[in-house]
Amino acid sequence: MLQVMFSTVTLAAMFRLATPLILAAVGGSFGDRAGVFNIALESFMLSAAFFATLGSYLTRSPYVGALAGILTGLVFSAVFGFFVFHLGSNGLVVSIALNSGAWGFTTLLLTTVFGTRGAFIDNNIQSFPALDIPFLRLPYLDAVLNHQNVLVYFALVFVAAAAVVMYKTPFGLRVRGVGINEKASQTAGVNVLGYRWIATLITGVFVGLAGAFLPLCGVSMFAENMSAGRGFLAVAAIMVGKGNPVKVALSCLLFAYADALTIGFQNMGVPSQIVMTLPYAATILVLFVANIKKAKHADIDA
Amino acid sequence: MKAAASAALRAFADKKSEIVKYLLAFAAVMLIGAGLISFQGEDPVRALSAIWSGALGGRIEIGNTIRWIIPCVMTGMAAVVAFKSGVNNLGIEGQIYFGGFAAAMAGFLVQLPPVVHVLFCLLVGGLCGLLYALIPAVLKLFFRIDEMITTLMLNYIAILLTEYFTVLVIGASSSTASNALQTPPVYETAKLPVLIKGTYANAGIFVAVAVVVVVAFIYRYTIKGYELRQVGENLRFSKVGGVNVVRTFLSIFLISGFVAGLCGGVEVLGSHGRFVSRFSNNLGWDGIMISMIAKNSPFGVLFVSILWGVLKAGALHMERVTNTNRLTVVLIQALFVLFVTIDYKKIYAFFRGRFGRRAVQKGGAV
Repeated sequence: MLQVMFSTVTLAAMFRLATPLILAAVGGSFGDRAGVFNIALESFMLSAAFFATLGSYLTRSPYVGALAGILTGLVFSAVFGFFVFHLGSNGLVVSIALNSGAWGFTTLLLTTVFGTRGAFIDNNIQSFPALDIPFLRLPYLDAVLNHQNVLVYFALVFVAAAAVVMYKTPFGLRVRGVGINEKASQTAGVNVLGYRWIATLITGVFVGLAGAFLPLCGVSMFAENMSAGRGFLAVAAIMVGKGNPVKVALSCLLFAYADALTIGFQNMGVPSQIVMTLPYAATILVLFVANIKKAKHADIDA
Repeated sequence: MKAAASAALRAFADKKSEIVKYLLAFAAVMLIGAGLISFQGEDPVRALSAIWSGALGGRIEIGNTIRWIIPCVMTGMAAVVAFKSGVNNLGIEGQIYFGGFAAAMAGFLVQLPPVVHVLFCLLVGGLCGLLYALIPAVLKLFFRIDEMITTLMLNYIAILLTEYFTVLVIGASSSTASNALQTPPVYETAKLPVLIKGTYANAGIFVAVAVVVVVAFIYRYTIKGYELRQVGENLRFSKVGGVNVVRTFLSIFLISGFVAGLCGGVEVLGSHGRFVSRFSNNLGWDGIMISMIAKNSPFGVLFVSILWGVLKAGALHMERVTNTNRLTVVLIQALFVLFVTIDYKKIYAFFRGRFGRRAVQKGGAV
């Protein structure tokens, strides 16, 4: 048991599995901080995963795939923003419609474009390369952090960058201000709608990149409903970390760790269905622990 | 007298704008849907008539449409109960699974006389859905954890757990292919009677309609229903007004879970005859979308569910006889939700404000 929990395989898998969550959740933190209610990340991610596969398939380049994923995320977040900001739709309803539609959309495209149902595997789909970083060639660390996918490192750098942008730049200050008090921001001359739009598009870009990671992280395939709730896990991570990029990323690592354990536990003979509940159960557990202090003055206000 | 007349006029205008709104949404969906179908190289009119004949073309077709209307109405009502009162129960899907599994267990482990057995199984199913809804309700009430996230997570857990229980029931020796996992069939006494021979149209439709009528009655004629609605409309006001918000919140969540569990039971006892893992395939989300289109009105759910049932039943036929993929229908449904949520009044006011100022000054009424 302990062997599984601290094995280099598990920890390496944690970083790999955390990457899409971190990209999506830290990107989504901007939208969250700007006060945009958005649980459509799942649909952005799934659609981006499809178009990233398509991009990579057509050009044999993972970077074109990533670009396609980002563009998809951008388009979907623009649709979301247009409905919520300009057409007066409710964010929850738009999210549910998009999530439900994205499943039909990607599976429909899978059958019409690739002519298959279920999964699409092809040699033309190229994944991101693994990097060999010389200064990580240390005993334990080499097996855990070295030779990971390019995006894994990018995600870690992105967390730091997002934290700086969020807390050390005027832009971050305004985004947070818009979320905390819309009227006050407006009075102070901040373009509330503009900042909400930018925050939503930032969300789209990085959730799109997260989606691109799924088919191009080494498996080089697209499968029906590939995101499998990762968009929702990202939303949960944003809630746990309250939109603080570092805290959000840490909760992503935690969820990913629970996910990584599934591989080892499955080999130990624990039923796969039980093991697969781990990341979802961990999410509820973390929320529970994080909120236990507030429990004393429990009261509903929303 | 004059005031009453103008009030009636305004109500009429409101209703008219609601109708216009649905017509606009419908037209927009039809336009985009036609585009989607022609994109797949098929004539939209042919595809639509294929849906029509596949859903309503004959006795068998109508039977299968009814089969799909049943779960749509029930999940729709589970969503109405929750969302009307501001409880964001996104966990209907999970509650369906637990209800369905429990009903199946009661169906093949217990032996009871004919009618009693079905009712018993349905009750067990409903109660298990209720218990599964208790988890997010307690987490929200006592630990302030947003029910949206917990219910979303619990959906995934429910699908996996019921699958695991199924494995336990049939013994570990069975194949591990997850798409073929199912419990032994329930006793004949536990099955909901079939209404149209050769189809899956079953007596569950009466359960579904009963749920609609009961909920509509509670909302319209009882004090409890007034309180339930009020909590959704204005929480602070109802708190000051002396409504026990905690108890109301809990009962809403539990009723919603009960209806969802009942739906799982009806699906298992009426259509499948046993618990099949992953049988629901997003019925819970269908319900939420239906209630959103129906603006949380019980009878509205009934109408939208008929439309949903027609689309679901007709889609397969459309795929068989035309070049259109049946998932087109899923997209059309999602688009419908999107377009119905648009606040057309706001847009109209915006355009009137920008381009038609003179008309307003002249006293142009809406």
